[in-house]
Amino acid sequence: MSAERLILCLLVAALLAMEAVTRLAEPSLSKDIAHMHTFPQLAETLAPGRAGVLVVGNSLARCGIDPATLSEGLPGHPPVGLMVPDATAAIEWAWGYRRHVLQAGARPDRVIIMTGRTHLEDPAVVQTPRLGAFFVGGAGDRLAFLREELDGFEEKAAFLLSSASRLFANRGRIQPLLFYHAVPGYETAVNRINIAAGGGVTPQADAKAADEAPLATRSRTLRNVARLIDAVRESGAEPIVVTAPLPERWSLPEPVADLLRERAVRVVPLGAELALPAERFPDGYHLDPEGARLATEELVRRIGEAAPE
Amino acid sequence: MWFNSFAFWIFFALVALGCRLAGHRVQNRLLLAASYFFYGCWDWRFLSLILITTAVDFTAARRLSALPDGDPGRKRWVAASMTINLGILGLFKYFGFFVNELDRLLAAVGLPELNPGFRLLLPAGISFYTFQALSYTIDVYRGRTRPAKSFWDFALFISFFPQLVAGPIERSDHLLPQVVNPRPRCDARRFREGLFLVFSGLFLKVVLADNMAWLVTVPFAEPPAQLAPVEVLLGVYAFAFQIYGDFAGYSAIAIGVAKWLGFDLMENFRRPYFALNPQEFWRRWHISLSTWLRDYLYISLGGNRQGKWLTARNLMLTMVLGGLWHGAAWTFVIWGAIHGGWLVAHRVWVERRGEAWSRWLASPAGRVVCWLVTFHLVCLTWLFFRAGTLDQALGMLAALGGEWRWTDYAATCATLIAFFAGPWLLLDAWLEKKGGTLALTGAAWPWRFAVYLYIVAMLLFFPPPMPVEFIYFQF
Repeated sequence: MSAERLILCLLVAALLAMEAVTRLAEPSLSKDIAHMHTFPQLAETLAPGRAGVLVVGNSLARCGIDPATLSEGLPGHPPVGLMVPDATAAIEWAWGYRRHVLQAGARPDRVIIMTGRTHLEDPAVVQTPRLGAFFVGGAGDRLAFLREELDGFEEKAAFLLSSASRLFANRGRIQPLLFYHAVPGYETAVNRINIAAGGGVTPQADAKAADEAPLATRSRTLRNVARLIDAVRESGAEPIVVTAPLPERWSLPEPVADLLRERAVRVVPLGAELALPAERFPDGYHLDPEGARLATEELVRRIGEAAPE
Repeated sequence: MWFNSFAFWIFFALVALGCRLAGHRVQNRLLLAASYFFYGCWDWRFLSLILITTAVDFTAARRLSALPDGDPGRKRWVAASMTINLGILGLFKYFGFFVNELDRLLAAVGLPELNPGFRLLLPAGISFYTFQALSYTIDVYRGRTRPAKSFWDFALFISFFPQLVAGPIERSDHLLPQVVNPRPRCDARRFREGLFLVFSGLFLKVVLADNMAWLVTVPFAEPPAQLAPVEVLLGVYAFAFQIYGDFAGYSAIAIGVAKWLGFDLMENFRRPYFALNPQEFWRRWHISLSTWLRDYLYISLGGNRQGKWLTARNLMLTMVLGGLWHGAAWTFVIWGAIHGGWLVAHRVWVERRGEAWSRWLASPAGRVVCWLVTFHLVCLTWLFFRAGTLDQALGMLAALGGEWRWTDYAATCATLIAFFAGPWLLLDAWLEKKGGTLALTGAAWPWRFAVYLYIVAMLLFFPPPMPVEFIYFQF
């Protein structure tokens, strides 16, 4: 064997070792990944016959709904499952629901989808590695995802690699993990660079820009919220869309509201109707635990009001 | 199809496999088809320009070589080739620039503007393949190269995909024989050298250049008045490493994959930031362009044979035109003019300095000073190269005179330059000491493994926050 072949074999062995370490240590990379590792347990929490409730959303739902208050407030104190990873939207919720609920055999009675202003729209930037690793599952869904959601060979290749390799899927987490802790002034510099670059550098910045843009200037589609509702109904559950309380009152964009009306989805407009004081939003966006309790009580009351006698 | 894309490596694997299985003739046809496919992935419409260039230069070289020495027809054929080649280049690359400048002039004297109402797209790599094609016709005219017998072989010489869109700009007496004659198989040595070049090229492009590109955003996007002096300085350092990584990385990958296909392309970068004077810098930076300018422009203008004033004029003209080759903007002209002026000044200084100076410059302290001065003057020229406008470049220079204070951006920039460029500069210093770009391929295999493992880890864990196109594609 020539030296270069030996070197290449050793490099492959090193990559395999890194893959193994990543799989073992993955939950400790971030709280978010640790949360995503709990998705397979949803099948048990929301097993058929347990009349469970699943909360779907992102950090707005994680900080905006108190699971204990929700369970205690509903008749029969049903088990509550959570699928609320950070910085996700309808695309992750739809494919994640299909993988971890529908395909896994979980059968909740109700699915509460808590959303912000733009989270039910299809994204401008698809977070391919995360979708590949944690949300899209099963050969059929992977093929459908490749066909329907991704343009271009590079995106598709990155998706397939992320589906197969946790090392590849999580590679983008190492840099911020290291730089935010070890590089002086990094956070301020990143914000400045993002602004200088036009604010469209990161998916978060893009989402923020989209959030601030008037609806007429956006050309977003709504494929994934439709897919999510279909999947929820296919699993035998009732979808309930809840608009998250924010410091300022807000309503769903008209096209989203139209779609939900067309599909006869119940909407609980806490975002438009529940006024909470500013101190309940310590970071100006997410609710604190007391705010979450108040919002959940209101949600339970509204669900109860609308429930069939 | 970028070199740092999955698509390119699948494409290359298929081409390499085909070449492995085929004989020489079939290899050439396969490589030609692959090259046209590769270019067509950028924009298939501009394939017609490559075909025109190929047909013109193939015909011109055949016709002029058929005429006896001294026949005026020879000059006419080479002039026709130059006119058509430079005409196409001028039309696509400089039309918009000259119309804009003319419009400004017309507006200044109160005449109606031309305002053509359209913009011509710049075909990828047009400056590179045009210069390569031109050098072939001139070489045939000068009797340095025999004209190609096969149109298809010549078409491959013009369009060979590893170096088609960003060089190295090959010479006919170097690359054409490798096309025409059977090439060596990819043996252990070729594989080893290609592997080092490809790994180092990917590191330079993806890790170094693209991460620096992200940092460079601030000083070149914010108004200069808002910048602290140290931010300008570090931003220009970052750009110096970005453009080096971007272009040297592309060249290294091009040379590496060509090696695997049995071709030896010319070295294009030789650790340029270790240069101790401007002359040495140009012997190390974009070598294929600087030697092209020397052989076909500087020497044609008379070189250094006509006295010091004409030598200075020739140097200035060569560098200003070299600047304009990079792009149609005044910033590139200024960039070339500074380099030209610097080369002239260095030439005069070398002629006049005394023995004591020469002895001191040869000392370690003298070398450090020369290196520092050269690096910073190169960085000064990069400021003009990267700036969007002359006003911006001058504004940034003026900002250097502001109050020196440390900022969060400066701290991040300094740390990340050290993190991304530091280890590579150490390797470069070792290669410099050993005297060759490929010195690592002669080292014990555990060293190579350690370097490759580092590169793979950096590629995997430190991808750039935003993908960046190769800078030199726009030239």
